[in-house]
Formats: sequence, C-alpha cells, structure tokens
Amino acid sequence: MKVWMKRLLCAAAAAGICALAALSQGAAGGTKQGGERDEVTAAPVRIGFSETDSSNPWRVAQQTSLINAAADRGFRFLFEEPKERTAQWQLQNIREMLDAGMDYLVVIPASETALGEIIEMVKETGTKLILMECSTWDVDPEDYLFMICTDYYKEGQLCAQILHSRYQEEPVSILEVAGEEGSTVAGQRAAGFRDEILKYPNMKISGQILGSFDRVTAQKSMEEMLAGEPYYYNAIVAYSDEDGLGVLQALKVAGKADGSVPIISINGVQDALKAIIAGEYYATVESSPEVGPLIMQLIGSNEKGYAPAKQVFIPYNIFDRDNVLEQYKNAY
Amino acid sequence: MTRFLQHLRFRTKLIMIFGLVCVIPLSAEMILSYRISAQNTFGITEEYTVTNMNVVCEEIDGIFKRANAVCDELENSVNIQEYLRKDFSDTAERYSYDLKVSMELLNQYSSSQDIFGVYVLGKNGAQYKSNYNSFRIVNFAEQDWYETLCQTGKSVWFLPHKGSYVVKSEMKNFVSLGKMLMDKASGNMSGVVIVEIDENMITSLLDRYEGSRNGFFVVDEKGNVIFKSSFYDDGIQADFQAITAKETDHAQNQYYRLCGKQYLVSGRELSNGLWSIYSLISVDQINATASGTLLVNCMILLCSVVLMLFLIFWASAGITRPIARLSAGMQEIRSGNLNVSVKPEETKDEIGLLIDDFNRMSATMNEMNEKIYEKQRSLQKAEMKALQAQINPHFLYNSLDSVTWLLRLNKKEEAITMVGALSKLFKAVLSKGKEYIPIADEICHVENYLLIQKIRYRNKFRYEMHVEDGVMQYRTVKLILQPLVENAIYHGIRGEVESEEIIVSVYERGAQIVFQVSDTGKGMEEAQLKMLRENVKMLRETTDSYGLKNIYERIQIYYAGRADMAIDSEPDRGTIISICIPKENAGI
Repeated sequence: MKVWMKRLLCAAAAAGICALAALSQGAAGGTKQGGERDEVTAAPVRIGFSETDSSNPWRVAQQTSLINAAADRGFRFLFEEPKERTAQWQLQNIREMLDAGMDYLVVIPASETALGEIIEMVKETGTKLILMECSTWDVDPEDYLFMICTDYYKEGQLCAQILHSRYQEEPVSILEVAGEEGSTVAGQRAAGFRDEILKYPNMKISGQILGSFDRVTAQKSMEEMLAGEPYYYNAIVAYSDEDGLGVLQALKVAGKADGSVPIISINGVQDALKAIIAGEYYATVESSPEVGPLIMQLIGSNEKGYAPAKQVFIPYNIFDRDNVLEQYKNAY
Repeated sequence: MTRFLQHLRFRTKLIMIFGLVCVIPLSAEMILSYRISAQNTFGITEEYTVTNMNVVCEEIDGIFKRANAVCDELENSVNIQEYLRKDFSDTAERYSYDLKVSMELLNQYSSSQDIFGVYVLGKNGAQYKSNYNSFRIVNFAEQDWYETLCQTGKSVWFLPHKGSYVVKSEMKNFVSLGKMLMDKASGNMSGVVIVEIDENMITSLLDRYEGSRNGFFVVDEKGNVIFKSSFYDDGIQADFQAITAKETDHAQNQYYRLCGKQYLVSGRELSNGLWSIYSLISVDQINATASGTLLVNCMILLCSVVLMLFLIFWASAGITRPIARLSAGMQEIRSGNLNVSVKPEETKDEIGLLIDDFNRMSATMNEMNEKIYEKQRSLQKAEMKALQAQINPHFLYNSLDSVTWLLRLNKKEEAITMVGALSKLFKAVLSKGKEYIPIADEICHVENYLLIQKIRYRNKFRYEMHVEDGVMQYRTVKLILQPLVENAIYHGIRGEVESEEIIVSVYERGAQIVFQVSDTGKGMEEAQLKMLRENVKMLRETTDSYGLKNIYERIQIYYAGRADMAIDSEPDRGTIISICIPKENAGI
C-alpha cells in the first residue's frame, strides 16, 4: 500500500516539474518574441530627454518642439513629465532611461553637481550626451556630443541696441525690471544690457524695480513705484516678457499705457507679440524654445557620420512692429 | 476514561482541571469576540466607505461648484458682456483688450488651486485667459467642443482630455466645464467660457484613503470610468465598468465580484448631475482588518494561557511538592523506618502545618516505638530472670534432697505431699506461658512453695494465709508473691523451730489488690531499709535484693505506674513488703 502510494506521488511530482518547465519555457519564448517585435517596429535611433521643470509655457513649447521634431524624423523619443524639481528625481529618471537603452540623451541638468553625476552615469554606457542650458558651467567637451547654447549676454546686448535704434542720440532714461534674483539667465541678460549701454553715453538706468519673471509680481512692483515716488524714465527694459507684460498691465491700470514709452523685453511669448501688435509694447528678443528641429537635425547628421560642432547656438529673433504680424503664429 | 483519570498523578489532574477551567472560557470568549468584531467590522466598514465617499464627493463637488460659479460669474459679468459686444475690427485694440482682460482674469483666478485655466472666447475674436500659457493657434469655432457648446446652449462637462482645449499646455489631462455665453442685450450667442481643471486635482482626492485600501471610481452618465484611484488596475476598471454600464442605480453597500474578488460598493451622484462616484473596498481587506482583531485576540489568549500554565505549574508544584514529600515520608514509615523527617515548608498554610504534624507524629511514634522496644526487652529479661529464679537448680536439688531425706525417715506421706507440691509449683511456674494468671493460681503457687519450704526448713517457721474471697475473681502478673515469701524465709529464719511467722495477706483496697508478706524476722536498720528501697527502685543491677527488684520492675512494666511496692521494716520486729496492683478481672 505504502509503496504503491509513494510511486504515485513520485509520478505526480515528475509530471508537475515537466509541466512547470514547459510553462516557463513558453513564457520565456513569449517575451523573446515580444522583444523582437518591438525591435522591428522601433525607430533605429532612441533619444531620451530629461528635465526637472515643465511648468511654464516656454518649457512646454520646448518639450513640444523636441517631441514633434523627433517624430518628424522617425526617431523614438522617450520623456517623462518631471515629478519633482530635484536632482535626485532627475538622476533616477536618467538611470531608468539608460537601463532601457538610449542612443542619445538630451539633458537639461538640474544643477552643476547633478551634471557631474549624469556624465559619470552616461560614460558607463555607449549613450551620447547632448547638453542644454549649461553653457556657463565648466564641462569637459569630451564628455558630451554637443551642447545647445543660448547666448543670454547677447540677448541683453540686443535690448540695448534696439533702444539705440529707437532713440539714436536722444537722452534715454531707462527703468530696469530685474529678473529673478540669483537667476543666471537674468544675470547674464542684465550684464549684456548694462555693458552695452556703456557704449551709448545718452543712455542711463534711472531706476530699477523687481520683476521675478512673474507678471503679477512685476505689476505690483510697478504699481508701487507709480503710486510712490516715480522715477523719471522714457524707456523700460525687462529681462523677461512676463516682467514686461506685468509692467504694461500696471501702466494700463494707471491709464498710462499709451505706447509712448517703449517697453523692450526678452523671450518672445505670444502675449508679448500681442502687445506689440496692440501698439503697447516696443519689441521682444526671442529666446526660442524651438530647439527640436536643430537638435534632431544634428543627431541625424551624427548618425550619418558627420560629427556636429561642440557648441551650437540657437539663432535669435527680434520681434517688433515691423515683423510682428507675420511672426505672431510662430510665437510659442 | 475514569480508570485513566484514576491513574493520573495528583499534579497532572490539578493542571488539567486548572487548564480546562482557564482555556475553555477564554477560547469561548475569543471566538465570540471574533464573531462580534467581524460583524462590527463589516458594519463599520460599510459606514466608513460611505463616509469616505461623501468626503471625497464633497471635495470633488467643491471643485465642480467653483468651476460652475466661475462660469456663472463670467456670464453675468457686466465687463465681459461689454467686451464681447465690442466690434474688434481693429486687431490692435482687440489684442490690447485681450491682454488687459487676461490680466484681470489672472489676478482673479490664479489663486484658485483647482482651476488650471479660465478662458473666454468671444465670437468677436476676443480671447481672454487666466494663466500665462499662450493660446493655441487654431480656429476655436471649428473645434468639436466649441460646436457642442453652441448647440447645447448650456453648461457642458467634458470628459478628461489630453492637453488644454484652449492654450498650449503640458500633456496633462484636463476636465473642462464649458458654457455658451449669451449677449444679454440681443439674446444672441456671444462666445463661450471654459473652465479647465487639472485631472490630478481630482485623482489625488481618490487616493486619499489608499492607506485603508478604500478606492474610488468616477463614472460618466454611460457608466464609463472617468477617474479611478491609482491603485486600481485596468482589470478591475473593466469589470467595474461592465457593472456600471448595466446598472444605472447607485449601489448602496452591495457586493460585486471584480477580478475574482468580492468588493463592497457604494455610490452616489456628483453635483454636476452627470457623473457618479463609487467607493470600493475589497472584502479581503475587511477580513484582514477582522483578522487583525483575531490575531490580537489570539496573542492575548496565548499570553494568558502561557501565563496561566506557568501559574498553574507554580501553584500546583506548591501544593503537590510537599504532598509528594509527605507521601515519600509515609512510604518510609510503611517500610518500617520510623526515623523519618520531612523537610518542612516555609509557608505556614495547611500543608505546612500538615508536614509539621507529620514530623511530630513520626518523632513521637519513633520515641514510643523505642520505649516499647526497650520495655519489651526489659520485660523479657525480667521474666527470664524470674523463671530462672523459679527453676533454680539449688531449689530443685534442696527440694529433692528433702524428699530423699523424708523417704529415708519413712515419712512417706510428707514426701508425697512435697513431691505433689513441687509438681504443682512447677506447673504454676509454667502457667501455659501466660503472663497474667488468676490470683487463685498465684496463691496456690505460693501455698505449694511455702509447703515445700516448710518441709525443707523442718518447720523452722510458721505461716498463715489471709486471702479475702473477693480477690479470687481478679488476676495478677504471675510470680510476684513467691519471691516475697522467699525473701521472708531467707531473711527471717533465725534457727529455732517455728520461731518465725510468715503471714501472706491478699485483700482488696479500693480499686486495688494488695499482696502483703510480713515476717517476724530480724528486720532492718533504718539505713539498710533505705538502701534496700533505693536499690529496688533505682533498678540498679545488683545481686542484693534481686528478687524484689525483679518484681518491682515487672509490675512497673505491666501496670505502667499503676502498681507500687512498699517495704517497711523495724529491727528485731520484722519486715512487711506490700505490692498493690490494680483490679483486673481474671476473665479478661
């Protein structure tokens, strides 16, 4: 009886093991097939994109530009909406993308320290690194394929030149709307502008208010200035459109927005173009978020074996009353 | 079973009884409390999920109501009405207004967290927005949602859509409320107002009770799931949708099977009158909560049982250990060793007292036993000595010599009397081995002895026997009178014929029988008498007055202090020795 039962049990166990083995083989086969299918349909070039801020229209436009440009060229584009504005999140995000396997990685680093770690991570893989918005940091060109640079200093200089073309030799008293405190972008733009006006003795900064790259803050600062002891000014320069538009609203509320005082700012958002069309704004220097086509084109060339230049500058554009109507649709 | 129980040790029984007494009610209590708590858990969970649903529902309704309020406010705004009535043939003017009004909307609504954007799109081309985002470059009038608004003419809720309808935005999902605006002056359609809500504002609310696995679904009027808690997968969503697509009534604490698991479901309508929210919790989760109670109960029971077992073992050991020691002591006593002492308990409870008593008892028994042994030994020795005294070869030789002498003198009759007396004497001495003999036998024995001695001593003394008739019915220890008589003969005879008189008296005195032998011999000096008395009572081993000593010893042993001996003597007057024994019927 016992022997009989033992044999039966052994037979059952053996059958079970065979069935399991068969199942696991089947499962393994399944994944392999799936993988192959993926590779067949996948774009030959896989591009990952990582940033930590996607909350403003400019960023949205930048993202959209990349997504669309990659799609146009048939590249496979991987991007995850940032969950936190921290270097920690970005490093994890990049790790995941590298694990998934990327040919190119486009990164807007959260900080200079984060960039160092990113470079280390990427080095271990065969992925080629494309950097954005870190032209002011000290990076070894060997560590990246190419870098997309925006010349913020130049943007500031352009503002001064626009003012010069408006006033020529007339005396110009400028109200400066400072950008976000500690911001490299605002700092460089201001430096460019201030250095440039030294060339024109008729230009001087007569007053400064705080903008913080925010319309509401800029509007409040301007209202306070108007209601308090107003500076004399016959031109306004803001280091972002948001600041310029806030100041414009303050002028409107105060009934002083007759377009007689030119307002010049940088970025080129849709609303700034609207204001130019409305005759309330003088000009804006476009800092284009449209980097997608440029980056994808460079990647395409690299794929063909033509190594791109290490530093690639985004072309700028100036929107003013002369070109605003035709450019309106292209504004982000 | 009974037999099995009978054979168990006392301690085992004690533990079993205590154990049963503790474990049975505790287990019963546990089972009962589990059942009650399980019932309660279901009841509480039903209330809990409904309460949670109401909380979440009110928050979502709050967002919806704010969106509605914004629509109403803008529809009834004098300024907006005016702006939409304007003819903006001049683009510059239109844009100027766009910027101005947008800033106003921004100032008005940017503080509202739930609302991503408020937009007014006028038929006259006006475009107002409450955020920084740029307008999409499309012809809004051609969009489906715009057409829907124009056709419906009233508030419309749009299902979540990727990206904003109106502005360039992140690729997030938005829920929108739209309404056609009517020019209050003409009654014509003047534009639309759109309020967009970030989907996360709603879905984050649905995850609020994730900790207790209480999830939610929001379904549209067709029963399609619009929002779900992030921890529900598509499988559950599909199963749930299959139910809500069929059943339009809102479930109230009903159980449904989703993805092979039972779920408790309650639902209600949201304030927009179109969508419904359902609160779900899996029965497994409820059971897990109840099991948690069971686990806690089990732990408590286990701890109690362990603690109780420990106490029971401790308590029973406290009772049974001394009892076991007592039992071992008893065994020792039974096996004959009376010299046993059980280690006393420190406690002075009943068991402690019992052990103390046991020890006292065994000590007393041991002492008594030794006394008895000692008594027995001395008795045997005394008797042996008495017997030896009787069967003294000298006495026998002298007696037989006297017989020979009588026969030679041809005193045949006397010889016969003597031999007869001798025979009776020895018969009495043997007395069938009995210790006690009737007083009559003792007197007979003494008479025979006196007879023999009188012949032997050739009538050198006279004797009288005064025996009360009443004493005959009592008994006495054998051979107590004869040594007294012997003593009287040896110490009293002075040589002359019938110079001495020996009087043997036996009479009753109260509860006692008195044997008295008096002689008229030389008597004793005071000092000699004193020494004799001492010799007799000290029980000292001396050759002097051995006969008296032996009697005294024996009566002390047999009557245990109830008998006594008295010696009185005066020089030249004689000696009287009396023995008192208690009355004991011969028949006994």
